[in-house]
Amino acid sequence: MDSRRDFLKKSIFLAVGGLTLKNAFADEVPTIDFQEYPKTVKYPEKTDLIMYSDRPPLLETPRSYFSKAITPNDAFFVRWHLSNIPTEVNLKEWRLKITGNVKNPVSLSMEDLKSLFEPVSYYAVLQCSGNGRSFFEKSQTSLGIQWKHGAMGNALWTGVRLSDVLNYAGVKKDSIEVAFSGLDKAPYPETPNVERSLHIDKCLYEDLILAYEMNGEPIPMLNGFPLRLIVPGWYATHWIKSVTNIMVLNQELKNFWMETAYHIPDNACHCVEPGEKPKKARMITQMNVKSVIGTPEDNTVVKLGQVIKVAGVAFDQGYGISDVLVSIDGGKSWKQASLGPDLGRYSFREWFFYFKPQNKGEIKVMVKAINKNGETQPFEAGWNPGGYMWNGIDSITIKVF
Amino acid sequence: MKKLLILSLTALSISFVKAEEKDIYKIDLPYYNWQMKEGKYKDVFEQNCLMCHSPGYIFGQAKGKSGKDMWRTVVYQMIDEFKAPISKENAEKIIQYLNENYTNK
Ligand code: HEC
Repeated sequence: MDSRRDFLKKSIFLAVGGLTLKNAFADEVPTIDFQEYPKTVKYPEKTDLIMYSDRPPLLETPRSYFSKAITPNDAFFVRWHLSNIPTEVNLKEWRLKITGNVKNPVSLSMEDLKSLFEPVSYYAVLQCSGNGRSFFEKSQTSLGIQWKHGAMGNALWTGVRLSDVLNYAGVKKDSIEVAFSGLDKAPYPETPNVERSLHIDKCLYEDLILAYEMNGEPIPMLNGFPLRLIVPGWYATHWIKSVTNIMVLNQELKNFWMETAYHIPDNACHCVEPGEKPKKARMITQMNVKSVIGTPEDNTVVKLGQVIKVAGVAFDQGYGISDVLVSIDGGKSWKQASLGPDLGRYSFREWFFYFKPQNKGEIKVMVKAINKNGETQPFEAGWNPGGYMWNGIDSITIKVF
Repeated sequence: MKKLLILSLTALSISFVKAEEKDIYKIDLPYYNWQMKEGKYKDVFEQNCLMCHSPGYIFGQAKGKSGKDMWRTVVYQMIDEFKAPISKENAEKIIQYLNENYTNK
């Protein structure tokens, strides 16, 4: 963490001194200008990803990874709020503390976690609330990182049940919430640090886990090593990274992250007219049904007569996917795609569809998923100020010559 | 100053370092040099807006249709919600710089 602190000190120093980073770094540091933004770069433990910010690192998975149900750790997207992120963790010293409204406050090492509790695993999609935010920009740019398809991924998470850990500390009867925080900190002391809470019933009676493995490996540092809260079906904002503090509460947690951030219009479409503010808002929770085309690439060129395989993934908040439909005539008619194996209700479900274009010209391929609750994707998602919950129908263009 | 510079250069390496002791996990982050457009009050922007995050946040915001008062909303959000220590006078200058250089009607 040392080099990072020095960097921050230095950048603050430069900023205050009125110098620019540009002058000091001109020769040593790769340059990015507006034209080449966002740029594809490589980070530690990561393959080439689309970079939106280096401080904090914000990295998007390229769309082509979404033809497979499991997103490799090195291609998994990266999202932090505050730029003082953990870059070094010593597991000898690291502890998970469970405090607050409990009978026995405890401090657990990683070894304790692995030996005291039964390990459990499941596949679950992790998706940023703002995934697809850039697709709102036609009506009006929403505030936040302009993600395209890839602020999401699906992994096999392994860890311990949150309820087991809470019961080990002994939750007192009048508890109503559990608050979580991790190793990331704001670089400026007045900025509110990320601390979020969930209702006690969700923590005790649902299938949340504290994961120490992602796809059979330790969680990459940039994805929340060494322990991450997994809240299947809910947006990533609840999946606290590098968790170190769990505090059981007998009153509601009140801070910027709970009262203001990640709020959606509290109506059926979670939307308002572009530019308007919602009359009533609430915390974002469950994901909605969605599908993304992983292959072929947008604007692929094929010869007439060639068979085309379109493939991608679909998911929802946990009902499970019942159907994926593909259109090759701009949405007039829809045909059933084939589904890959079912890896569990919180997982990506692979789908694929073969067809042979009959004419030369451009074909717009569209896909929409339907879940087991009968919910389906809209052509365009309704606008909201935070640019959350985009699940508009995905499409690509194929050129036949 | 010199020492700081050397340290930040080592931060450029993009390898995953596992220290001798297998309990220590460590990575070194790369950094980038963000080229902001030249314009009036660019200096005020740079003095006030680089402390907490990179200008990547600004670039992203400037791609689509901006809507009314986007940069005013952003700058006052930084001050009110994230407690950015920026005077009203400087806030207005920054809004002008961003409106003139990073807005789409
Ligand atoms: C005191 C720290 C701080 C300072 C100084 C600061 N910001 Fe921010 N800014 C934040 C935080 C925290 C976020 C939210 C980061 C996240 O969730 O990824 C943010 C987010 C943003 C975003 C993304 C859109 C949004 O509304 O979340 C933009 C654009 C932005 N800042 C621009 C600026 C500009 C312009 C300035 C200078 C006026 C500035 N920032 C100064 C802390 C700061």
